[in-house]
Amino acid sequence: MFLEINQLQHLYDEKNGVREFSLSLEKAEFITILGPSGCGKTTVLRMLGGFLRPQRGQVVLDGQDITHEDPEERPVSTIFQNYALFTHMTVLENICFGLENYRKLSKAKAAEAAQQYINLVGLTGYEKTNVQKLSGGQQQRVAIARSLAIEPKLLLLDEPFSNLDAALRERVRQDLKALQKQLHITMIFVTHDQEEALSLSDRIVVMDQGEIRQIGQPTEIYRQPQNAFVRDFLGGVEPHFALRSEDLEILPGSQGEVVEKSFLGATTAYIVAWKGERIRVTTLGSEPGFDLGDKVDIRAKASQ
Amino acid sequence: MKISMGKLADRAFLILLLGLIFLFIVYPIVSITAISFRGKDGFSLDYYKDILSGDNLTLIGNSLWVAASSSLISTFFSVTIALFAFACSKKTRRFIQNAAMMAMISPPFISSLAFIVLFGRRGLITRGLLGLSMNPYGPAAVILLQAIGGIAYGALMLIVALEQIDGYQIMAARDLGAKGSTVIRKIVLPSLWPGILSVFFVRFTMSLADFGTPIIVGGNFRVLATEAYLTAISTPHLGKAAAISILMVPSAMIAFYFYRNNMKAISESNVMKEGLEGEVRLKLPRSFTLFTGFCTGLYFLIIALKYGVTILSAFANTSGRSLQLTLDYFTRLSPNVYKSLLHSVIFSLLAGLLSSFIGIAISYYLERRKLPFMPVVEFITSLPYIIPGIFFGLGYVAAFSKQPLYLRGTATILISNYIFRQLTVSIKAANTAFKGISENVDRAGQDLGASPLSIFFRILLPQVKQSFTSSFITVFTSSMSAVGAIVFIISPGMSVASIELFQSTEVGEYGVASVQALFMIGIVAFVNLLALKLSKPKSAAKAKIKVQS
Repeated sequence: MFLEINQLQHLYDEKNGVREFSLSLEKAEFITILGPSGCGKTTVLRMLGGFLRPQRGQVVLDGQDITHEDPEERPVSTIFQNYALFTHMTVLENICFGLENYRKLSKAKAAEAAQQYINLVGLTGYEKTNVQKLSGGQQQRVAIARSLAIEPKLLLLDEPFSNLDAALRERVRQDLKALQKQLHITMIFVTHDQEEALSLSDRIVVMDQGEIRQIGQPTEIYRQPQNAFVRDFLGGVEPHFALRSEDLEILPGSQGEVVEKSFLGATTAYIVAWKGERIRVTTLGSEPGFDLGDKVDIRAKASQ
Repeated sequence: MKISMGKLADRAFLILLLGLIFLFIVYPIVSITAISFRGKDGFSLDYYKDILSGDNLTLIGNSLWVAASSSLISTFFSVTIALFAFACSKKTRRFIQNAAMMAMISPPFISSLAFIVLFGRRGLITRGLLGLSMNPYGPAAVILLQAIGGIAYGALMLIVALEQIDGYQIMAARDLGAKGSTVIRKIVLPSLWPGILSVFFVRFTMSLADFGTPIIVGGNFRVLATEAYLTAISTPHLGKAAAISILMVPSAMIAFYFYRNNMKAISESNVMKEGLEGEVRLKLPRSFTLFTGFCTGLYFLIIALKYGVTILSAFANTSGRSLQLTLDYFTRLSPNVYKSLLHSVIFSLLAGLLSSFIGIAISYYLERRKLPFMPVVEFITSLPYIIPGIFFGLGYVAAFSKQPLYLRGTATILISNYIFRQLTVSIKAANTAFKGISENVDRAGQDLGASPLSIFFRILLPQVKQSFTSSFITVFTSSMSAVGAIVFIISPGMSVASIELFQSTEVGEYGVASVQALFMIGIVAFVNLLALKLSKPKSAAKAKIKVQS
């Protein structure tokens, strides 16, 4: 295995921290650590990046034990949530930084190599611009280029899209995925957004309160949750039917009544009062609609 | 149109505040500036022409190079100490910060005092240890002592600036392969630059305005500040003294500009939250840690020596053939000294209280109510702090020596000088405190029927207790030590401890001066600790519970 993480642990106190975190990655795999705030995902990232000393456990990357190596020595790079660009430098200077310090290139060679990465992320022409003058999306691309430039064996991303608006986020996600495939870089991505995790990852690690709850492919995690936490974090199931809201359908009937209706664009979410329960049903825009007060029945959708 | 009582009271309060500012800040400054331009028949530049000619040019030259040298040395040490503290663990850093604050609460001149006791003609080290009989007075001594005086403040400012550096940038730099020394060179120092400039120019301005040190250890070496002081003391013609002091103002303006720059940079940065526990510290080259550690150690050794010598010379006669312990200096203290000490304490306490209160009130109208002319008012209130102390003091002489505003010889003139010189400190502290309180609180108050003053006194004021206490301590401590601004407005029977100390040192009564210094240090330390204790209600309550159980 390209990356072996073995029983990694760091506890801040009795309740907070990370316990017995173990994970193995193949080269060029895209793994997401998914979980609510405070679940420990950032702590794991910090230990992998070298910024936090594990109290227990081991990290072996490409055959080398890097558990106690300093961040400046590790072949690992982190893209921080706020990008952490060097605000007093230009785009070129930011990207050259790693080339000069980590890859120890001369100033001239570094500038040459940096140009390639600038072109790669689509920022040609902005070389001499001070990074503070760029938009959020552009700054993010500088952060990505800067980390990619040192050709790390492992790239860590700490909720890098949380500062972008919805439309931009969608596009940027796909760009990142394409880049990763193109460059064959092993990536660990951290987020609390399940949509992001499901759409980007080869595998997902679901975490809660410092522990791993499940590791698996996106479809596995969504359709075969191994415990209540994973099931509920990824949308939950409806009472009585024990199915996800999109696996149910409404038809005209008599046993239930539509009590709430929320138009969400592509889908519509209904809440139906049914045998004393409140059942959520999600329908596609193309399906027939209902109104508040309609008498309806619920059943499982045929396509299971 | 009916104006409610609430609004009327509010207007009256505001007018009162503005009136005080006009009377005690604008009027004195304008008066003394006007006098400097007054010749025999009205407007004239005679005083200025005189200063900028011949002999006086050497004075200006002296002042400039002394100020530059002491600022360079002072800033250098401030930077090295701050870097050392930054590279250390949090605990050590806090310790260094506290030690620096201790170094700052000492009254002025005791460095000079300690210097003379150690290195004077009959100094413990020069004559006692080395058997030399040399004259240490001169520009070198002035530069050295002024430099030492500025280091603590500079170090504290820079440590704060360093802590404001985005922790993520440092993490990113290391992530990209930068070793500790590269991080310092490429990330830390560039971020620190505004702070360094600020510290340098503030120190420069204060050196320019310092007349005490050159008088005591300067020997025959003369600078602008000494000239201003001597002129004002010996002649009734304030004009020349005023003109000299005005020459120092441009430097003050420059310093203020860089200071504001730095403050802006600090408040606008989004700081990474408290460092992670278990965080991996920067690996810095041995030579760096040794060098900065050495400078830090050297500085604190000097400070310890300063206090040690002061204590020693309070209890012993250091100028005799051998060291003789004596309590004479204590027992022979003139009643005047005690009276002045009492004055100092009372006036400084009052100044602390009133300044903090008025500062919060003004901040309320400025920061909270955002009245349009308030930024101008804020600038005006910062003037007394920026300009040299003697200039502000001369302003009070000019403004309050004639009826109907004859305040010479009263306590009022001293207290108000203390208050209004420091007012800007209280205002700035209150501004910060207010920024932390959501404006919706005011709106809720209004919504529920409270008048503006009611909102101020009953809702906002209680919430800025912390700010009140910190302003109080700062103003109190500064007032106890203030010399320049008040040296011209004291009078026999209405003097303060800092001036008595200055005079004792000037005439060579080092033992007596040391005793006075110890009293002052003791009082300031006591008040500081008391105020800190009182401002922490939670820990006071906890302590009570512990005692009872």
